[in-house]
Amino acid sequence: MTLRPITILAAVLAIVLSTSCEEIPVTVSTGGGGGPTSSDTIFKTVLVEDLTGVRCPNCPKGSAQLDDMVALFGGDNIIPVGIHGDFLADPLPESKFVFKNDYAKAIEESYVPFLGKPAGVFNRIKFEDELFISNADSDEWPILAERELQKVAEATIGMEHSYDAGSRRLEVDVTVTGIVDIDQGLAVSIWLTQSGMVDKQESVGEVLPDYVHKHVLLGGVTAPLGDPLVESLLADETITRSYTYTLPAEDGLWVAEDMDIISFLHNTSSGDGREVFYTVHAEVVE
Amino acid sequence: MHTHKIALTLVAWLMTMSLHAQDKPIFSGGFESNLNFFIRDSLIGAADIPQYDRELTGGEAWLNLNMAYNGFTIGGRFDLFNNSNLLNPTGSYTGQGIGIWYIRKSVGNLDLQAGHIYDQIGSGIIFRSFEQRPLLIDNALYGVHGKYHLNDNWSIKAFTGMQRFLFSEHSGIIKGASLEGFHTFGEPGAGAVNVAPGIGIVNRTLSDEAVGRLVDKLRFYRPEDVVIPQYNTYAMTAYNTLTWKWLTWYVEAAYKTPEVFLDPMAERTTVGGETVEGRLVRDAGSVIYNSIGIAAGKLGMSIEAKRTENFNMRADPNLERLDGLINYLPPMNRQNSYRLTARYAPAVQDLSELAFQFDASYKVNKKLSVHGNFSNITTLDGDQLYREIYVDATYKQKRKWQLTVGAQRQEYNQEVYEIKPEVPIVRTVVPFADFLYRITRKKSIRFETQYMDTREDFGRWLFGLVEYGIAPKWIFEASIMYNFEPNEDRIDAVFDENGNLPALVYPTLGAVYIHKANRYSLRYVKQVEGIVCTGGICRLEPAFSGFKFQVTSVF
Repeated sequence: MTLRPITILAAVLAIVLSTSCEEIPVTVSTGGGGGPTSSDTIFKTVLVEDLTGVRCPNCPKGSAQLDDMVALFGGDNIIPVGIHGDFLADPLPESKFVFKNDYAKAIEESYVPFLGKPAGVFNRIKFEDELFISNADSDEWPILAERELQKVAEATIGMEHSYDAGSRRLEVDVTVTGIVDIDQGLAVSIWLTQSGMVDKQESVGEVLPDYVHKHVLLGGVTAPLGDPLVESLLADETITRSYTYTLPAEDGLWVAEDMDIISFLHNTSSGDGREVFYTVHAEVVE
Repeated sequence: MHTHKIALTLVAWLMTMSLHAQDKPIFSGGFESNLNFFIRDSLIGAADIPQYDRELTGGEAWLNLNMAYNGFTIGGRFDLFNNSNLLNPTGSYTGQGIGIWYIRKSVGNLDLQAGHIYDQIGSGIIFRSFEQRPLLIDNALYGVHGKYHLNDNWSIKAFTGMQRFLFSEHSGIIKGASLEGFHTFGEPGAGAVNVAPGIGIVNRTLSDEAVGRLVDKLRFYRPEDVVIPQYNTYAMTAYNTLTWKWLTWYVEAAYKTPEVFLDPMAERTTVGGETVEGRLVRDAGSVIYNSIGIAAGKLGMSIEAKRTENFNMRADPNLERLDGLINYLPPMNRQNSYRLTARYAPAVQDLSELAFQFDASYKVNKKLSVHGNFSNITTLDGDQLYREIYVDATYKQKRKWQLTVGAQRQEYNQEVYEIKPEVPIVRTVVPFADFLYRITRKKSIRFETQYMDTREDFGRWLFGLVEYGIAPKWIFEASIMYNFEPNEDRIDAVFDENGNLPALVYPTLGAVYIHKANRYSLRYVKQVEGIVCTGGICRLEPAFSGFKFQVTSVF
């Protein structure tokens, strides 16, 4: 009697396993789908805000992922910014630099809650099926960037700038052009980043003593969450704004030769309704 | 149909039925609510999360209601999270709605259930749907479940559904079946050998979206690192409990067919040539678990061993941390309860773990009993993860007083369990004493003291507690945890403005009031950052500073 049910189940399992284990294998084509493909259409660029910190062991992986994305999609299409806001962003003992700053903190706080670091924000879009606007799985970052890159731009921003090394005065002119009518408030953000600082960084199982930090957000010409521009923008409408900013004195940071200007057009919404329309970048000293 | 609508429809239907019947429905339920008031204290690290910065309060509540009527049992639970840090200890989550519902009915030999189901196969190694409220794990299976009783001793069950996550479900489809029985060899009685064997299988089918996500991630790998995901994974297990006289022997062996999962320690070379940790790999998994218990008069012993290899089972391999766990791997260390002995607890490792545990207790006489425990956990490569030696002795002087003294020695791999780089193995020695004195029949006072000697992590600690009880209504508690010799080499050490590392005090003051089935507690708490575990499932939680108010009620 006791063997009967075992026999029944064993037979059922044998049938299930013998008939169900075969499935048509999926295919994986490496290399990603690439960036924009049409020369007649203006596609979006992607601002990647990388919520990071020197005490974040997984953040070097996120940074390496950004390098891959820049190489794969092109440096004019992927514009990464390292936000050393607050969480895990305190310097390590014997760190040479303090990357954490109030400007970055204000931006990081606008993305709370996030699941941990690194967390990537892609054109400030909250993607379907994502719990938060930021994504804490850096393996998924190229996928999200690719999705954004395949979108047609609704507006663009152009940037011209000049820098006087003597006075450390930076002048930035931005020109916003509508491609379609945009019926929502728009703002401009102009940020300043620096790359190439060699300093400590936590990694998985070790502290990297000579880690090269890239795209670290030091501050900005505009307010951290942007300067309002217009309430709406029509197709072919052009708006120009000029900004001036004096770089703080060099202290290992604010080294003009290693700095980039990031300018982007975004809406004035908060929370999950945010969107970055277009981003451009340039070296401070060209 | 939305969960809320289904639950309300069921309630309305059964209420309507009950109005027309002679039997009255039987209601039961429970309520639990936590309300936290956050008071920023950046010196202990209780800062920089939304609750400290601006929200100031946060909490959770659960209300269960069950009704049995005319052979049916239905139930549901309302869940509420307001600025809660339970989902993510460094974040804030808000949501409310019907958390679970179910309906059960037995028809002859067949037990049927639909809705949210809690169940397991064997010890849970291939399937367990369960709730661990302190970690906000509630992975009930949202589906149907049937159990057929073949006879008095044998039953077969099958189930299918999706795993619950907050107020929705993870996308994978989970199916499972098991056969369990009981048989006695020999004449029933003390000399008989009883066996309770079982076999089970679980199949998880990934959704197109989940496989698509894996494929999308793998597209950006170098070709030599690419693995091919598949939709279906099967896990099988066979287990048995044998009891004979003073012996109880449980053994279980499980195997999982190859699937793609994230190995956080596997190295990957990026397309740009950098080496990073964390790679999707494809492997089969296995677990062997053995537990022998001996209860021979004054002596009680248990010996456990477990070998785990690549047994990460989730509703969706894209999920991380505590999300989407389909199964449960039994912990192999003592579940400590004193504040300092419980400070370092090892989380069960699902990819590579070899663990042993020996536990023995001996009742010397009516007054004195002694207890010892040894556990050792390594990776399959032999890297030390955790080791604990624990002894205690309890002396009871009739009903007047009771004294427990003991000591614990631990080695704890902080680098693995807390993902902190370049930190040493934490080595601790914790002597402790617990004294309970009954002043009168209703009044009692209890003292606890513990000392932790360690040069690693936070450094050395003292802990003291006084608890005064006035049965059956009141309990008053005051405790202090004092980091009297902080470790300046700790990587996360927070120095004051003068460059000194302060010796921090973490006090707790609390009162509990119990009235009938209601329990109210209010505590002022300063709590150091630490590992919070329930049943071997652990996560690192930040420091807490503020008030905690809790209400529980059963009805």
